[in-house]
Amino acid sequence: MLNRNKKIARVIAYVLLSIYAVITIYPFLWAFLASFKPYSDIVQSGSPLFSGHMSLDNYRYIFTQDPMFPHWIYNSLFIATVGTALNILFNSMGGYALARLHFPGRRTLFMVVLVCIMVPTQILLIPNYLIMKAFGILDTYNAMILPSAINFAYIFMMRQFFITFPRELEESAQLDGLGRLGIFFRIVVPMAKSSIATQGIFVFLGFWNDFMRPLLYITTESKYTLTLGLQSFQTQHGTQWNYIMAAAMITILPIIFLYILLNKYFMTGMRIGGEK
Amino acid sequence: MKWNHKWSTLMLAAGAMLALGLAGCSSKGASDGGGSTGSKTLTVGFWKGDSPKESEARDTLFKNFTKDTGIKIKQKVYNDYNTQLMTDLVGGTAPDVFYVDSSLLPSLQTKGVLESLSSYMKKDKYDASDFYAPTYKAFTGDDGKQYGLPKDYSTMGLYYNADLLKKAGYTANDIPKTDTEFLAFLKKLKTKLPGVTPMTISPLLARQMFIMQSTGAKIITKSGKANLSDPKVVSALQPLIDADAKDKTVRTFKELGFGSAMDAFGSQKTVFSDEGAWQVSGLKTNFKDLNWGTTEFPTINGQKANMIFTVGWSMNAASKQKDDAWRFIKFVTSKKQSQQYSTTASVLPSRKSVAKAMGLTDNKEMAPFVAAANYATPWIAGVNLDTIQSRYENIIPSAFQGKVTLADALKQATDSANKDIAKQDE
Amino acid sequence: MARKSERKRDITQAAAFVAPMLLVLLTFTLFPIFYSLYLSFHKVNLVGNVSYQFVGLKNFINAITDERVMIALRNTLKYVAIVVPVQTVLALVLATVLNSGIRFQKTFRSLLFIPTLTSSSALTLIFMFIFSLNGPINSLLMKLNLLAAPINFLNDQNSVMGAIIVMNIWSTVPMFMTIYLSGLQDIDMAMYEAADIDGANMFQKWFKITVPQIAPVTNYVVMMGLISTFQLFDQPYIVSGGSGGPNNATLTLSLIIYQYAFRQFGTMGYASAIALLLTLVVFLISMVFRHFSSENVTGEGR
Repeated sequence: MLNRNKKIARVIAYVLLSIYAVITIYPFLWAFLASFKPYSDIVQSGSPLFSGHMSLDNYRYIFTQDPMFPHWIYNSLFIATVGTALNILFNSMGGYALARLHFPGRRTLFMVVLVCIMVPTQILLIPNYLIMKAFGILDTYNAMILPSAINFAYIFMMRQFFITFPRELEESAQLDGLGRLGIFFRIVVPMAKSSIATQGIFVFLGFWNDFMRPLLYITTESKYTLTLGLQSFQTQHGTQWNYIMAAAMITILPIIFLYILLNKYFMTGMRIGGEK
Repeated sequence: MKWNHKWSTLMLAAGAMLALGLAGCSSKGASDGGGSTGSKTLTVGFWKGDSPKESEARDTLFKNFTKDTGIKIKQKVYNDYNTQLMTDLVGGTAPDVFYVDSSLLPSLQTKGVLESLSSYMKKDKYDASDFYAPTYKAFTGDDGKQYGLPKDYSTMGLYYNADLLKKAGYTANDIPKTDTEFLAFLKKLKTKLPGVTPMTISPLLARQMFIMQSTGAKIITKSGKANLSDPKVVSALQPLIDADAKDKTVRTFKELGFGSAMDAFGSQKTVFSDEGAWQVSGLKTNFKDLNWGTTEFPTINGQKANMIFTVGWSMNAASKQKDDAWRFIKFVTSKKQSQQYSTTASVLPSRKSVAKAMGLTDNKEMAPFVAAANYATPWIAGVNLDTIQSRYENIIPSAFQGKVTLADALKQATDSANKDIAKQDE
Repeated sequence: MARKSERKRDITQAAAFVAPMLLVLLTFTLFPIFYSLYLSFHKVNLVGNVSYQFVGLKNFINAITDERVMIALRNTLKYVAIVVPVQTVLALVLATVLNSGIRFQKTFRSLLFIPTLTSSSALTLIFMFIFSLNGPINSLLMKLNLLAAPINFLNDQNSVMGAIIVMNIWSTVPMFMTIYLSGLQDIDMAMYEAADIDGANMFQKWFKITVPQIAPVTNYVVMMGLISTFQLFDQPYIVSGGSGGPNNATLTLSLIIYQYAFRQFGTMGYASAIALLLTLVVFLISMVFRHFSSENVTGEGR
């Protein structure tokens, strides 16, 4: 009886996941196929996407049209990698301090962090622009990295994580004579692997997909990020859908590759978290 | 522990990369500053335009200028003109010379952002009579001074699908020359061509302004407030709205489920499309098999009417190299350079002599657009056009769909725009 | 005496931990926030002849009485009220199913995660085709006889927000699902085993063990959901071309703020005032939520 129920539940689970997977994949499949199609086929809605003429013309165009393309990929990778590393370090430290350490103004600081998540970004763009101009870092990688070296949402996330973290481990480490920083890096961080991996991926994606800030802060074409470079396929009076689709695929592919690469860490990190 | 070690290494590496990045940037910055000892550099702001050919033409233009004067050009590409220009102006980082869309000229001029070119033109005896009058006047401020020189322009034309016309038993010569006949013609096409919409349009103020002003009223008041709800404006636009909401002979491209008018027209779903000259290159690249032509708009209330969109070169009032900036503007708007640019980019030159030299008046595709340059309404309407346009485009799709009456829609747009305008002025 | 020095040490240590965060926070966030706070009490002109004119609370009063702001608030609230519960529940259900020890867990998880990898602007462009008049959604609904005639989802004032809601749930669920999944794996399996012995069925286990155990994660997911949905900008901006149409159907508070900050001269102060009101609304709502949720605000009660 129990076994039969379990079997039914399992079938339902597979069906549910499969349906949702199809819903998830469909738009990407559509965009992927469209990226091999000429413009007229894409916009003539109703024309079957799975048949007809397919070619690499769109990809060829993108790479030959803009000699800057490799630069953009490098820029995006550099900014996202450095930015993510800083975020992981700073957010985790900040989150840990807010969760565990005793210092005056902790409560206020936490409230400030919460408020900072809530302020709409549109209003901060121009003041930030003025600050960066004063620092002379406009049109540099720093303009992209420094203001985003921390992320309040993930400070908040790390704090939530550290609050539920067992104190006993830290206390025993303290008895062994480790200082706070030692405890943090040797005991806490390794235990927080899954949260850090999750945070890392989302922060990286945030940098990789960011559009508004590079638009305002980066002006030299050789310093463009990929998102900004791709925007140039949107012309004054229309959108070159065929190139946009190909370009979108090119932005997604490195990320998927990276994800598959990190997936192992992601998985082990989470499994260890579960075993503790 | 092993894992911990890995992470610390990664952090260290990241720190090192950042330090390198910082050092790299600052050293680059220093060399940029130091580089000015040898040669001068002028910053020029522009957007990319409609085709790769336009970028090619612009690059040649810049190269020629550097060859001629020794002044280097630092390019600043605007991907989102409104947002980036606003940030530049607030931050004081706007280029020495930049593109100005005619519709923005009044607001930029009254803010004192643009340098008047009049004294430079006078000093150099710059001859402006060669420009098409509407394109030149578009950059004349309300104080009579000149705040930019037109680089090129575009007007609108009536694109027709020759195959569909033939299928209905007509040729291009049968397209009526007046508005009432034309609307009746659309009805005939609708019955003869089932499954095809006779005409597609874009629900944009820039495309409808000349129709709205065809009965004598302006879309703005003398003080620059919205005047869309003026009964004359409403009655001028009503036939077009009725053709969509009632007759279904005209549909917006969005109603047809397309992303642009070109897509609907190129997909053979409509016989006509009213679009700018920029659609010519788009159709040629994207819809190679389409058999199409262009002709002038039918007259409205017996008058020839059209829109003219023009972009000019303007000088930043805060530029530190005004003489160089003027040299640049003078150079790129000269006959020779203008012809190079217009020919390579296949755009319409703002100089009559260049249009003649390029043989555009004999060019079947382009002639209707060039003809319209003489009588078209410039896309300019006071300092609040962006607000008025945004309110119009917010409500007008619902009017085309017949969900609200045109009079109500335009009243709502006017009230909403004027409330905002008051907020800026008070 | 020893206590005092211990306290001092604590503070020094804490300073080391929060210093990087504090530095960035002060320079790139708090300063801009105070600047816009300052702007919100002024009529400002930042272009050309820069001027600040103190106007007191006028910007705030204008905002409260502005019909467009009220429409935007209504649209935003409606959007938040639908998206946050749906995406939270859906994310937890999917995470539970994924975590139930099925095969191909890794494959499913990777597949479902893909939307998170893509920028919302690229996704919106793709979705504009998916939702178009002759697009797959219309043809599917018509094949299932749910629709007699296709709906022009993105051009109709009655359906456009619905389309944006679907779009957004679709693209945010995977992220929250992943967060839930890592949380679920931290739940002690012994609790489920004990429940099995007591003969609990899977629904009972889900409601009695999973949901309460995962509550801290839910707190986080709902909070982040609230904050991000209140700031909805990309989709309405792209779909309406920045106008908030058709007929104000896609006008959101963030879109209005953008319009006043970037598209009009001299309304930066007004934009700041609306932004601060929005922040206040989000703050109050999330405080109310946190008050009713299991954890107290600072976690000091532990």
